Amino acid sequence: MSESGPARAGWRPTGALARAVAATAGLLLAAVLLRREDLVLLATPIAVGAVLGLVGRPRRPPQLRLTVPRAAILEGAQLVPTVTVLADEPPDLVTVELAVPRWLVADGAPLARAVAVGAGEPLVVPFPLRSQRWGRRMVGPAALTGSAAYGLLRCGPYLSAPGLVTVWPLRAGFDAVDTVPRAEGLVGPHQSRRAGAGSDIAGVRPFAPGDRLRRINWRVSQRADRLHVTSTYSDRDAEVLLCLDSRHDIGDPPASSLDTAVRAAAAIAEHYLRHGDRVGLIDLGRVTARRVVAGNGRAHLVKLLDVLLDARGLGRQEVPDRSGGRLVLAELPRLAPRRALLIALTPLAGEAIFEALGLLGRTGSALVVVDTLPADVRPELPSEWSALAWRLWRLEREADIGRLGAAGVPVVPWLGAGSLDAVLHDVSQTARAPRLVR
Amino acid sequence: MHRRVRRSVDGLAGLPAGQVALRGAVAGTGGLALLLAAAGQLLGAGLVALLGLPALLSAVLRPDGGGPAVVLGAAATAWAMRYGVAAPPLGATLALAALLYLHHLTAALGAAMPVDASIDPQLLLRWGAHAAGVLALTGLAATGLRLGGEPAASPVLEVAGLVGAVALAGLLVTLARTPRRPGPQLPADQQSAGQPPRQ
Repeated sequence: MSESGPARAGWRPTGALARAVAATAGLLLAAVLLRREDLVLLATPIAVGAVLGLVGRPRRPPQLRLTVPRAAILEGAQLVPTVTVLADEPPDLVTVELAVPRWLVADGAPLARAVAVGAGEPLVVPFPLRSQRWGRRMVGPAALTGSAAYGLLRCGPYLSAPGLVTVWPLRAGFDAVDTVPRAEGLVGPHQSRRAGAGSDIAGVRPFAPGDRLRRINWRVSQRADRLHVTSTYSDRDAEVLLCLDSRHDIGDPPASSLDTAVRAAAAIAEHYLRHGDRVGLIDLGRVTARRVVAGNGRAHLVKLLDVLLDARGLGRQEVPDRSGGRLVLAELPRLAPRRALLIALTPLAGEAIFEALGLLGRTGSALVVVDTLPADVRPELPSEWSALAWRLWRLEREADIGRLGAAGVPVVPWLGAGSLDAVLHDVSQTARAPRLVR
Repeated sequence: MHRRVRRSVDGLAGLPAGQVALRGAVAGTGGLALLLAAAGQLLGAGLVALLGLPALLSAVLRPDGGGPAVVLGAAATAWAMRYGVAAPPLGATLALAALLYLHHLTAALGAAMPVDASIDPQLLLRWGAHAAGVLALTGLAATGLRLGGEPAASPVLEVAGLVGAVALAGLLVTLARTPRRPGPQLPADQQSAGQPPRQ
């Protein structure tokens, strides 16, 4: 995948060569001056070893190539990049090192290997790694250093280009047994309130022009002396909009609020897409919201996961509740389709998100809020007042959550499969009831 | 200095087994060479050998530094001081020659790789075979010297010896100069496209 470029070309002497020359010359000179042949013997192996090594040294440096598997992997899965080394005239020793980013760790083998290479035969050195967190990571570069004349000469390091690894979030099994409110699409797995072609029976009525002949209910028609047809509710798909609040990343990765939100978003998206519904996504952690228009199918799931991989918490220097952050949240009611089920994944930190969710709730949108704040998160304690300030913040947050609930916006923690069942049932019932929209 | 040594020692604790063994060989060969060179003499040769001990620690922690060279120098100096103008026993001489060479070689091997690198056993076999061959040639040279007897004192011989020493050093430096040539080209390969994994 990526060829090597020499950082330092050619062979160059090492400190061991200087040591061999100095020791040989010094001992021989001392032998001559002191007339001691034993000093010649002391110098002999060092001199002979140096001569033999230098005479047989290679002329050409070795080459390396880093190959990183392109297939995306899941969190916790293993991937095995390989480094291929080729040398026409093999050096005595080749050292291969692989640089790996955070959240990729060596899995059973060290990241630096000293190996022996045969002449003309490519040597493939595997570097098994294990991913610890979702995201896009650059593996490499790989560095090759050669040693010749048994440590007296060195070449390299030669560096390869890095390779990209894509790690998808681990989607813990999510399932929702309730129907989605307001299924309004053309075809899909949900029963709508409208009559049309579908699988659920709505009743039996007299035949009208335009009815399909195969819908004729012969039993009822015989008794009534008039043609009757079986009417059904149309099967529709629904639109689900995931609102990812990536402005805040609270807690320690890989179990921070952003990690929970991304994994939950991926699991929910996969669930509804698998059932034939349409899923869209808005990432609120940008100055301008990054949005994926609702779609369906496996290719659309890949597109959603691709956007989720770019989710990043804003840095401490940025203040999400001012300027850009407020603009995005203020646009949320306009961006959210009226008939869609909105699922907001947020740690509920800051006033702006509560304002935006409250406004959405008042517009009559079917809205569910998933609380992604880790239960065991604790703040850093730079001062004696930090613990008290944290308690006050938690209490204020609880009060705001209560106010959201009172306004008809349910807030539930993310617990994996079945997290949203109860609240989705309530939201469906509420959505079917007529309501006044302010 | 103390912190650097402490950090280096702590770093040794997490090393692969091959690296620990290699550094043990550096320490063992250097330590035995210093012991053999001094051989019970507390003054003179013993003091010189003692001066080599900090260098021995440096050689273990940083084999690419000057420590191995100081160990070689201290051992050779202590040896020369110990026997003065007398001829030392051949067996002890060969043993010291072997220890000095092995200390030099193991330090060169340790300097050629990162401290946390795993070592291919085939590599150790290759280097071990080279060391065995060199020591065998040294044995032959010792036999030749013993059979040849001690040469008579001669200014011509002394000048020739000096010239030979300088020439040998020059030969090593000349051999170390190698012309730059491009390496072999690896064929391009294709990677398979991936799909998101199913759970």
